[in-house]
Amino acid sequence: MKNTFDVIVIGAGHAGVESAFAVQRLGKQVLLSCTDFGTVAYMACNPAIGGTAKGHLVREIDALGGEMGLTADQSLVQIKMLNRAKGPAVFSLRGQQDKNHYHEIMLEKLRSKENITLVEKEAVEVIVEEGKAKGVRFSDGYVAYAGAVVLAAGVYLNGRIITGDYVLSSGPSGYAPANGLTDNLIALGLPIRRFKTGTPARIYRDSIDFSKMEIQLGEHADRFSFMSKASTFEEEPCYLTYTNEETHKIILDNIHRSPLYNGSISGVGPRYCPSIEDKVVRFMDKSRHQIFVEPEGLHSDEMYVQGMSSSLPHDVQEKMYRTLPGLENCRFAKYAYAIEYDCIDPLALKPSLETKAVENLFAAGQVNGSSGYEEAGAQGLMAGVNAVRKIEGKTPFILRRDEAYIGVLIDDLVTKGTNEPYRMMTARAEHRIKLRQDNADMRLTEIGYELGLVSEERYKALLDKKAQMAEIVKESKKTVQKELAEEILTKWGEPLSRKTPTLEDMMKRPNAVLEDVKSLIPFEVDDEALNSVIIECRYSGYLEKEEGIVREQKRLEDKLLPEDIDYFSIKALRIEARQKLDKIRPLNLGQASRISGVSPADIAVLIVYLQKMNR
Amino acid sequence: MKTIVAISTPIGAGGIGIVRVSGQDARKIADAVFFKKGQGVGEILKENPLKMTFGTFQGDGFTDKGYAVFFPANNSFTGEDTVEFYLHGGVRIMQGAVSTITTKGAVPAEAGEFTKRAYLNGRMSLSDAEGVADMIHAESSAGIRAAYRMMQGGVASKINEIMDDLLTVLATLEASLDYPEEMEDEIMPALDNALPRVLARVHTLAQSFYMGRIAKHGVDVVIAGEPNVGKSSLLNALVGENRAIVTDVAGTTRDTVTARAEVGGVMLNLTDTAGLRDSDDLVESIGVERALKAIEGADVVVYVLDGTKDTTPEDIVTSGKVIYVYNKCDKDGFSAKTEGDNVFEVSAMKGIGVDRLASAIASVYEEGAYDSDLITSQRHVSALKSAISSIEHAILHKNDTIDCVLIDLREAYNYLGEITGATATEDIVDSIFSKFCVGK
Repeated sequence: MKNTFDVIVIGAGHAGVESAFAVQRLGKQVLLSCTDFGTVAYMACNPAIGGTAKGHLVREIDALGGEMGLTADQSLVQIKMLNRAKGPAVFSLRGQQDKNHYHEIMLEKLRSKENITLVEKEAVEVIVEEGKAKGVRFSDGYVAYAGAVVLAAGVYLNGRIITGDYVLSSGPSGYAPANGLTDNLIALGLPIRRFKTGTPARIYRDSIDFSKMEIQLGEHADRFSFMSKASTFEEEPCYLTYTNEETHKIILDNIHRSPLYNGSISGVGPRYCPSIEDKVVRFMDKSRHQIFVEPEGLHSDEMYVQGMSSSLPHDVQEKMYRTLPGLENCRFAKYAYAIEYDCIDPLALKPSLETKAVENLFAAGQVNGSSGYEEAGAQGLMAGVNAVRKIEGKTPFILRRDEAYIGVLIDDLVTKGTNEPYRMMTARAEHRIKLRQDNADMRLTEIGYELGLVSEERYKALLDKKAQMAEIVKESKKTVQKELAEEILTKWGEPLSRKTPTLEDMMKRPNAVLEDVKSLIPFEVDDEALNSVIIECRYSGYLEKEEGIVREQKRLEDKLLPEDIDYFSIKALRIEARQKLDKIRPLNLGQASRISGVSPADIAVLIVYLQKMNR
Repeated sequence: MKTIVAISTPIGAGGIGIVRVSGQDARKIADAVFFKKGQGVGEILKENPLKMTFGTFQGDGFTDKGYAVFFPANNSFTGEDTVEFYLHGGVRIMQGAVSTITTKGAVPAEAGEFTKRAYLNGRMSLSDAEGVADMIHAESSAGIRAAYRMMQGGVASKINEIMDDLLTVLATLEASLDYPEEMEDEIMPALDNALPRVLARVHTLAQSFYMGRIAKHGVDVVIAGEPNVGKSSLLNALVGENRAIVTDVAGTTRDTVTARAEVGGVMLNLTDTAGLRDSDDLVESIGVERALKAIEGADVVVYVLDGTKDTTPEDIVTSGKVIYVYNKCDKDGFSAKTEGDNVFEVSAMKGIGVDRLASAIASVYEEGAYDSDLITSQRHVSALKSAISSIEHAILHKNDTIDCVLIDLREAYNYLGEITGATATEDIVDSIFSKFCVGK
């Protein structure tokens, strides 16, 4: 077997897969390894992609030519636009997926690419020479060499599955753990931590009485990918039920048997993904908790019980699940479990996702302390691009916080670090009015095209959309026909205006409906383009204000800090600032200003220092 | 970048002080505060860069004659349009000038900000950069200590209370955006009630700045009255009695005499003025004019009358409190012609009644200081004012979608955070998870 590649990617989960595709699109040879083909793009937890902020990430991955959005569209079971009433900055797509179908499509796509070599092997050592990653040794003795290595090991490093006092050395869903690599990473100088997450039980569909639950249907919404056409697909409903006092009593009576409360779990769990026992203990006053029952796939035998993640012993799980209306006679296909795993402290990474300790070694996904398929995919893509750019001697590709959620995600991880698995939230994106899901292509596709990630077809679609938007903007300055305008305003329940309104005036009305605006335009327009124009027009005041803030911040982002700067020699910095700056080694003053413990006065000191160095 | 303003010379001692304004609005601001022959000097400055223009600084509640100089961006220290005002260097005028300029759109500069801008604009020319860094460091640690002392009082808890209130609103709304399904059962805050309540509290705190300024810089006391009623003797008596002269500067360019005295922990900034009378003498009439202006802006006017003569006080224009003093109570034929809580009988020469008078003057501070929540820093006032304007914008646009309303509310929270060091994003995320049962 051939043993020389451009890039080796360890792990074929959501991060590894996007990494491999990115390397392949840039025309390089990639070796992609996984411990089991079944783990390829495997959705180990909920059968859904997107949701608030995560939907934004999927659209951004897509705008940069990634696969997640297209594959999600091809394996949909249901799709919804969340937050429709709350404003365009927080519109978020969420799709229920057929998880097996998603895995199969990705596997097929990987195998169809000549530049991608997918192998079933466990990596045990990153080979490093003179401080640079040169290759990977696998447990079967096979050694492969490459210019760069991307580590995307997910939750498999020293994975331990825990229910009650039963502990099993394992990856998710019974896949084998990867126990060989952690010691090697520690030896290479990477700081390793222990995180924890969990998943609920899977219940056999035929043991559930759905008539006792509320049915939840999808809607006719957009698709994740800017390149997908809104075709029909076979839909499946989800169901809503609730916990009750009896559920809570069973949990509290058995809480001493929970590994989280009896001390047998040491890993740090995420606050946003609490187990049901966590919720019951922390929010005693809540008499019930929402539980969504979702299909694992189209006609799948198994149903995912969202909200009932737990690490209680199997017998307790059975008792408590059976208190839920509709689950009285349920049978378990898989029990809920907590999983503990090794991961890297992301402060040990550069904004390019290269490790500071080992040159040409990159890391992406859950192994960086994040959580979620979308967060993983986004990092995978970025790590893949930067691995290639590194071996080509090019500057790293870094997205700013005002350009993309991807920028926020990576900047948060490498600048602030995280003490729990990191989940993307819209609340974390301070420029979110700019970072909308409708304009992800406008923000990123051109950049992706220049990098070589985006196909001609996708680039042309962007140019078409831009041209359409320009046409509509031109048209929007003209007045519309008065009677027609009055008729429409009345229909919207909007007051009439004295002057004949322009198309722009009409679009700015809060109750404006896209279809009616469309009828006022004398030429054919695409809904997506029109929708973007309406949003930009209605929110122009807020957008302009945001632009001003971004411009100001960018002046700091543009001032680069040399890599070899000796912070301890700058005596005017406070001691804490010296230590933090030395550890994180920010790329520029903007990143430095976001480090906790670095004050505005410290930044002023750095400015003066830079000035002195430059002369 | 916002236009910034700061006092560039040490406060207090000097006869002349410089207030520097840097940023794109510098000249526009100069046009609104500095006048020559009744006209704003914007055009004059534009046509006469780097030249001193004599004119009048029109402050809130005071005016002062001085010079303005315009440095165009390519000729200034910061690399931005800059205007410097050369005014009389007293605390009141310097602070007043900065405060006036902030009402015209500038914000108070942070420590080292002029230097920072000079660097960002590629304009910094410093022979010893390390020295400047040390200076910034020293200033900021002094600033931190001062801020810390301030936070010991009620201010910290007042601001924290307001921020907690605002954070509850923020976190609930933000949680409903990030967890639309889980938050369906939660009651959303009524912005109609919550925002005006927060706004009123920020307003109250901002108003305490006036008293805070007194705590920091003392009470500005102007001694006024007709010539030869004993004003200078009274000044000497007030200072002498309390044996706490800090500085005693005879104004070289002015005919007023200033001195400082500490009474019961309150600093009195005493100004003796020329006697108020019509005069044909040019120098004296300028002195009288200056006295009238000092009276106008004083915290306390001590109006001195000769108790041995048959005179009654003239009407004076002032925003401060007026105390009437009948002097020469040790002399024959003395009698006070008016009475009231604000009327005192003293003998400046013999020192009779001076202590009681000093306490009465100092009590101006105590009257206002019933509430210990004092905002003392100009920068903090500016932060509070910015927060007010953000909240007002949110109230005005409360019917916009939540994502937009939250832009203003997060901004308001960040402005308040400039005082306490908190930031919106991290506090919101923490608060969401501590308050709500969200997550799958």
